[in-house]
Amino acid sequence: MQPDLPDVIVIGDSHSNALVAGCIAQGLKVEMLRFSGNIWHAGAVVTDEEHGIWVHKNKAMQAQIVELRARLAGRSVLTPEVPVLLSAGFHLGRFVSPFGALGHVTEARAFAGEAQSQYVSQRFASAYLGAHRGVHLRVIRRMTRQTQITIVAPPICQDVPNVHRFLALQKARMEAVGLRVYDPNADFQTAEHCLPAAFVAEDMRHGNADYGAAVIGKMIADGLIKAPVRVEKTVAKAPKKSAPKSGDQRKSA
Amino acid sequence: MSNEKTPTNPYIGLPSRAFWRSGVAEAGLFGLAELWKSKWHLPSDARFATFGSCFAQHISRALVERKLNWLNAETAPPRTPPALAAAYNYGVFSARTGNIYTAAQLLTHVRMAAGTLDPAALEVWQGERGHLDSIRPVIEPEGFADLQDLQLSRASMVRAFRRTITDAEVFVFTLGLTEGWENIETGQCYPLCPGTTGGRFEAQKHVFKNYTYPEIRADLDAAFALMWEMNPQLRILLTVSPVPLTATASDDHVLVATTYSKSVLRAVAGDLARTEARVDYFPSYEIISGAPTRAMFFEPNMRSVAKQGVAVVMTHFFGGLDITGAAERDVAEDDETRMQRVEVAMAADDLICEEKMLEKFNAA
Repeated sequence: MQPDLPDVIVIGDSHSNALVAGCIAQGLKVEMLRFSGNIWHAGAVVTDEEHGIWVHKNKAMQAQIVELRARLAGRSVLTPEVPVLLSAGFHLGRFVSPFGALGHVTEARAFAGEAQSQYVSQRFASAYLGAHRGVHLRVIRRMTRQTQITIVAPPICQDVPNVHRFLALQKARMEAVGLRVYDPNADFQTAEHCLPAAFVAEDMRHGNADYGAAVIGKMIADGLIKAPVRVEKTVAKAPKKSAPKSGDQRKSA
Repeated sequence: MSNEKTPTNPYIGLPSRAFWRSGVAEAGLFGLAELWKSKWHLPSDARFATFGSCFAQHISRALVERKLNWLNAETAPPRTPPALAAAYNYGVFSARTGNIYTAAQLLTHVRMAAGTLDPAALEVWQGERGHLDSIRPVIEPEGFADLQDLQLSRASMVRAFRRTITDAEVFVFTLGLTEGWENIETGQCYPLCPGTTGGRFEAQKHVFKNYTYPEIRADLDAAFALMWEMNPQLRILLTVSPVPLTATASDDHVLVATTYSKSVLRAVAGDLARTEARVDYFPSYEIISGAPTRAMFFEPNMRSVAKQGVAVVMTHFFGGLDITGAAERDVAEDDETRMQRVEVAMAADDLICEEKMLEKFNAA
C-alpha cells in the first residue's frame, strides 16, 4: 500500500523551523530533519546510499533520520518521490562572526564606516568561503543526485554587510554548479538591507512563522514548490501565532 | 713629560673588534662578536614593523618566531588557511605593500599614508584575469575583480601602513635596489618594470632610473620627515639586502651593477644612522656578503640566501637588540583573546538553539 508521503521534506539547520511553519501555513504536509548549525558547520552531515544522508558520530541525529525513514515506509530521506527544501550550505552565523571579529570587511560601505576596518578583496573572500564551505557544496551536490532539492538561503535579520557579501558569494557558487537556490532576501528585504521587523523572530537571528509562510507562499507562486492539491487556496500570510510543534508536523495537511 | 715616552695614537686602546685580525680573521665567521649594538633602549613590548625588499621578510619571520611584538596591521581574517594567507601575501610585511625595493617607493607609500598623495591617483593595470595594482602588481594571485575592489584594497593597505608608522616603536626598512622604473609623465615609480609582471611597457613613457646617492638620500629624508610628523618617537632601523640583483637595465654587468647598487644603499644608510639619533643601521649585508663567509651563505644560484645565513644574521640582530626596558602598554585584548571571546559567544548561541529543540517534547 502506498504510504501517505509528505509533500515536502525540510532538511537543514535552525532556519528550518520557519520553513516548516510556512509549509504548514500553506497547507503542505511536511516532514523535517533539523540538525544544529554546528553539525552542518563541522561537515558532519554526509550523503549515504541507504539513508540518503547521515550524521557522523551523533546518535540523536542518526535516530532522527531512522525515525523519518520509518515514517516514509523505509524510503531514504532523499527519496525522489518527495522534494526537499534545504536550509544548509550557508551557516553564516558560524562563519561571518569569526571572519569579522578583527575588523575585516568585504563591502565598501563597511570599510568607509569603520576607521579600524580592513578591506578584503572579493577574490580572497570567495577563496576563504571556498575553504570553509566547499565541503558543504560537494555534499549538497551529491544530495541533488537523489531527489529534487531547492536550497533556501537564510534570512538576513540584521544589516551586517559581510553577511550580504558571503550570502551572495555562496549563492553564486551554488548556482555555478547547477544547484537551485531561492533567496528570500531578494523578495522580502527592506531598504534597510534586512527583513522587515514583522518577519524577524525574537532572537533577532531567525525568521518567524509569518516569514516562513510568506517564503513558502512565494516559492509556490514561483513554481519552486508544487501547490498542495488538498487546499483550495493558498494563504498569503500565516497567522501570527504559528510556531509548529515537531510532533504535529507529519499530521498537518 | 711622561707622554713623551709613551707613544700614543687613536688606534691604541681600541677594542679587538676594531682590528681585522682579531675582529674577523682570528674570530672566524661564527666567532664574530659585537657586530652591532642597538642605539636604543627599547621597552620589552616594543612593536616592530617590517618592510622593504625580499630579505626583509626574514626579519618579519624571525620576530614572530622569537615571539617579539611584530606589528601586523593588515592581518588575514581569522581562520584563514595558511596557504590561502600566503597566496594573498598576508603576514609577509606589516601591511600588504608587497616588496618595497627603492627609497622612491617607500616615499610613495609614506606620502599616501600621510595624506599628501591620493592613492586613487596611481595607475591600475589590466591583467589577463583581473585588475593589477601598479604599486604591488603581484599582491593578489589573479588580480582584483574590478576597479573598486582594487581601490578599496589599496586604501585598506594605506590605512594599515599608516598604522604601522603611528603604532610601532621601530620601523625596520630593508633597502633593496637603486634601480627602478618611473613614469616620465606622472613621476610614479614602480616596484617592477611595466610589462614584466603586468602592465604594458611604453618606451616613450617608462624610463629607467638608477637612483643616485643624493636622490635616495633626498627620498629617505622626505619619507622620514613625514613619518616623524605622524610619530615623532618612531625609530627607523635600516638594513641593506645582501641579495644581488636578478637583472640590471644599467648596461653594466649585473655583478658590477649589484656592487654599485649595494654600495650606494649602504653608504646612504650609514650616513643617515650616523647623523640622526632615531635612525640606526643593522649590518645584515655585511654578515652575508662580507669576506668572512666566503659566500657560503649563498645558494648555488649565488643569489638566494640560505636559511643558515639568515639564522646567523638574526642571531646578531637579537644579540644587539636591547629590549630590556619596562613595558609601556597596558595589556590590551589581543587578537587571540578576542577570537576566543567570539567562539564562546557562538557556542552560547548554539546552546540556545539546541535548547529550543526540547520544545518538541512539549505536549501542550
